[in-house]
Amino acid sequence: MSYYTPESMARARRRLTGYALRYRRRYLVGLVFLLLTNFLNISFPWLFKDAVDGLRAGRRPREIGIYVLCMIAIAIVAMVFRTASRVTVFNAGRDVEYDMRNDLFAHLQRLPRSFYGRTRTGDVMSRLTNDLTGVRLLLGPGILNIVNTPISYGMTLFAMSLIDPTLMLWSLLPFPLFFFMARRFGRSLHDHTLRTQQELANLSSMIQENLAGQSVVRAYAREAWEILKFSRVNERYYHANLGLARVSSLMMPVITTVPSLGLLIVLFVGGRQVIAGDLSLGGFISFTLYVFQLTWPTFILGWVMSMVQRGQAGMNRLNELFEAVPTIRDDTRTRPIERLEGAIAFRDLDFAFPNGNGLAAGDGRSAAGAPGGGVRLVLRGVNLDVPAGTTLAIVGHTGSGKSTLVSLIPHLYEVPEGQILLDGYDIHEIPLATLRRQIAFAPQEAFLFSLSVRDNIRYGRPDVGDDVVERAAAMAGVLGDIQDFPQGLDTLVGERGITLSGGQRQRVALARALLLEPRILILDDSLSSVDTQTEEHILGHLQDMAQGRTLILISHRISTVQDSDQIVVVEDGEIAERGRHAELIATGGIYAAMYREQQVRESLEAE
Amino acid sequence: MAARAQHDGFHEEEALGKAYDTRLMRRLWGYIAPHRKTVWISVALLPLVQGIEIFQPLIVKYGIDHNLSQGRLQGLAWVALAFAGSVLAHGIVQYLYLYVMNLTGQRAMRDLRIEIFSHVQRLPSRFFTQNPLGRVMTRMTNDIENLNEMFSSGLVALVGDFVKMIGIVAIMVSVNLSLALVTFSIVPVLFALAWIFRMRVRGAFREIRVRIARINAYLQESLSGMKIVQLFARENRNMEDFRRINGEYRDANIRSIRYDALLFSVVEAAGRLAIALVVWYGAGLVYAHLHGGKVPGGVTAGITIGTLYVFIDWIGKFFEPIRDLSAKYSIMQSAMASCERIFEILDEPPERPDAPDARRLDRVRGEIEFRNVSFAYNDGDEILHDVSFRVAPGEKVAIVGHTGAGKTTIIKLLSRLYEPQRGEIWLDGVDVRDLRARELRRHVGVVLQDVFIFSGDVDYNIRLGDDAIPEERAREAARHVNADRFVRRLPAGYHEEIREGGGNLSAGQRQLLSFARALAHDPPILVLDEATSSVDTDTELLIRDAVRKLMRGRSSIVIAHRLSTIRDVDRIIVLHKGRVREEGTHAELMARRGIYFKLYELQYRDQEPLVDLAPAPGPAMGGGGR
Repeated sequence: MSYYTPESMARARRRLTGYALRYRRRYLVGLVFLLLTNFLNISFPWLFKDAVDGLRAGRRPREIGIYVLCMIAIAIVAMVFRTASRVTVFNAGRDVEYDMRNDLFAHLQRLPRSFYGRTRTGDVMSRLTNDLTGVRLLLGPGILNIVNTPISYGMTLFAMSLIDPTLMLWSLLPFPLFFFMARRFGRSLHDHTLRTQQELANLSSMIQENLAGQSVVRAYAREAWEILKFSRVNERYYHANLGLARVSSLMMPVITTVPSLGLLIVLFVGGRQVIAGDLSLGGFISFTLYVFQLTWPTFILGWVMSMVQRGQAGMNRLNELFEAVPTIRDDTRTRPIERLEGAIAFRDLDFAFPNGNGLAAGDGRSAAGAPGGGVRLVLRGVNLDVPAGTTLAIVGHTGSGKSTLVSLIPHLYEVPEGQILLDGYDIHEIPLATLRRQIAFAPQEAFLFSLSVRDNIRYGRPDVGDDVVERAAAMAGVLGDIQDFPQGLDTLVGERGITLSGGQRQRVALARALLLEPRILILDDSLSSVDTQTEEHILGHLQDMAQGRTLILISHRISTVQDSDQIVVVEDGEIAERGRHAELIATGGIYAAMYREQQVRESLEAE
Repeated sequence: MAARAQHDGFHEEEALGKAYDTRLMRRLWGYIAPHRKTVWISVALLPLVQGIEIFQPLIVKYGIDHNLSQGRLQGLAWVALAFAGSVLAHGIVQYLYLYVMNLTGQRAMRDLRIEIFSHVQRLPSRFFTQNPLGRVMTRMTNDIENLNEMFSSGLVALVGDFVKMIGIVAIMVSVNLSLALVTFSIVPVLFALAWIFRMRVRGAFREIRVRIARINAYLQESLSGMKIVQLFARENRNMEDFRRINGEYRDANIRSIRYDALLFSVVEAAGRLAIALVVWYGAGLVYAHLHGGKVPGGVTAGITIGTLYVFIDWIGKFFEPIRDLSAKYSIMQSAMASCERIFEILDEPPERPDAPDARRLDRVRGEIEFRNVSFAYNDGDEILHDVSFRVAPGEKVAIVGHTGAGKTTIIKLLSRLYEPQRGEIWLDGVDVRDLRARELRRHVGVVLQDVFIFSGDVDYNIRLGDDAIPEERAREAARHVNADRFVRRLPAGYHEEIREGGGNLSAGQRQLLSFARALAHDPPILVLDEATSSVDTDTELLIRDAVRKLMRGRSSIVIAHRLSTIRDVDRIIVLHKGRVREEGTHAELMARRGIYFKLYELQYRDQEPLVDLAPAPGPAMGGGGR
């Protein structure tokens, strides 16, 4: 787990400081309010002292009234200052959180597929929620208390020393003991917490395994044994929890005992001084009040410690995200190209999924790039020319590399220079914005967003009107379905909305691609869940629309691809066959076998 | 905090419920009740804890009035000693109270965990297809942890605070009624303020929850759909959206910070105002006591400075718990929500229990019959239509069919993981519904396509912790199905720990292991769903041999993917679109040139050369690891 180097932790700290310094003025204002609050805090017992001593000296209650008025005023003003200090500092923490979350999101949008290929969504999510919360707590309540505790101590001790320096030193006596015990407790608490968390992890993985293996548990009628096994783990977790309870239950009494011990000393030592006439009775009582004022700042100290730890750990993990490298972006090679005709060429393309740009693989600094040694090549020696305006079909078995091949065209993955050309330009020369505006891609898994059907279709051009949306939907053969939905184009997709069938999703995703009116249209098996008749219908529309555009089709259905200008068969990352339908059938290779199989399957379906 | 299961909660816009729900609490009491004894102990300890804390200042008061005010040194040491004793006693009693409360909570949670785990083992298979694993995990870990939190901090503190505040009010009233009334004149104002705050804060909290849920949902979706975002160049627009919802979240938080900060300071100020009031009103009383003058308010006896002191101490103790009330409140709130979700799972009806007069089968011959069975997972979407077939004792039958023909459903029905809507399934002339489910499943040995490996060693994965299987039989089974060879090559042999999910075994090795598992349990009926994953030729030959041995001498139903298996069985049943369409031997069915003939073309023809490679099982292979 601890793969953070001192350097990476230092970088994390620097980044954190950088964010906090943006709001340095607010933190300074917060500091001023804290100083004022604490000053008022110490003057309150002081007034009380004077009031008591006044009474003892025989002053009339009416004369005491002035002290009472001062006390009320202090209570109210302190309330205002206290509120102000908390609001300023806590808000600064929230603002840092806001900035950081925005920056992280912007950064995530720039990271390439290779990053997402080796990073679990859940991991990124937990960093953006739990870890960011840790950082925010550190920069809000954490920092407030880190600053407040010494101020409060300093001022209180100062006030006490004004009354009686010796008694101040005496009443401080239990505090070293307290710090000593707090340290010991902290360690013990930490150990027990760790043990509890380990047992909880055991318990969770036992549950996880049992749920995942339910089929076996049932098939072998092992339920009773599983329950027995669980009860053992459960028992261990229970005992770990009790161990923790023994320590944490001791925490409270110890924390409340310390100021009481201070009070005890004040009572005994201070009491003798009062009797000897060295200390006024008012001074004595105010001393007890000061001792009590130290309780809260001391009490909060343990909490602050854990907050600092959590915040630092969180920042280290966030920094890892920040340091993941956006390897695909416009750079010095980029030329001002605004339009593409749509000619695509692959030149001796070798491709392997890049290593080491994920979160799991260290500090995320290693740049991804060309295939290294020992990496499995997904594509090997691919040479292919697709003239602008023609149709290319790609067939092949699952896992042969077809999808990878087409996903390189919109530059989703890092590719070596000189191996992919569009209109004769190397793909690195074309600005990403131009490239992606000119290419529309309907991927296999039709991912839709929780937006209305309308907004899903016009995802790439959010400003077009309904007529354009409807035209694209009609072309994708989904307009009829949409009109049957309860709210038509306004129907929400996803968890809170309507559940679309696989075929409907694919057609909406197709409409989304068609709406871009791109120069290059890539359909990556994007009609697999649509029945054959509907597919033929859609392909009919597509032929018209694709006039003059480059069309790339991946499909398992021979009927879909047979009219293409060019058909290639990809097998194990290499182009195994190429030609037109009739030529490939005549050759009697993989394509011909697939064709035959398809015919059998169709006749089987018809049974 | 459960590290594993928290990702599930991201989408759920947690409904913000009550902090106290009588119905839930009553049901929760059911788990506490068995530990009544410890509850009574803590109920007995609680007044002691708060009592000592409340009486402590009275010792100081005594010291002030009898020693300090009078200038009398004698007895001061005793006062200090009494105080020290009370501090010590309070520490001990408080510790005991907290520990006993924790003990009760932990015991109740332990019972609840066992109950929910046992309950889940009895839930119908349908439950697992309808509920994502992650969600069930969350219920069984995070939600129970939330309840745990309630026991260890929230509830304990709230009850303690409540008793303490009541106690302080009572003692102040009894010491000096008028001074107590003056002091508490501030309380109604404070409570009114707290009430208003609570309403406001609750609104703000709700807004925060909704907005953080929105951020998380947006993030989650953007991360899953990042490919589309980038392909359609939506980055800038999405950044605007995100900045907006992020800003809304921040603003909601800033609103709640205002209330939260104000509540903290208002409580502090209220404490001070109460002290000021005590000084103002008490000054007259003290004056009366010291100088015997006239008293405002007509009270006859004055008060000592010690009484003034003790009131101030009590005021501090009274207002202290209100400060972090909102933290305790939110602990209770999330515990109630978790409680609700836990009970939801416990309320899921379990699998139909066995009939009270369930039959026992002592000797199973292994005759299976499906009679006009129709079945649908979801209404109106029938998977099997009117399926009938019979397997004679000891007969080997293959079921073949295209994807979605309903082959695996037949297995699930036979082991009664689901029950057919129409028709009957008979085992040795008994309707399976009249058998005990566990017993039925012990008779029907199911080997599934994807082999589930438990964490534990190889031996454990064969015997599955069943002590009725002697170790020697497990070894024998492994030898018989050719698993022995690879197991013995593992560093620790049968005691080699297998990583979760069987990561350090190949697909072929996992299959051989599952064969050993089935053979060790020696079921009279074998149901095998052959894996489709491709393995190397050597392993393929081992598996082929093992399947043959596994079927020997038992009624077997195999969902066949191997040509060799098809050739080994006595009869083939062709399932197509949920109906039995053809039946017969390989040769007969090939001759019919019907569905089977086409399936053969699609699924088995490619295996032809491999079958020819080793037409008969070599005797050497049975020996396993030479």
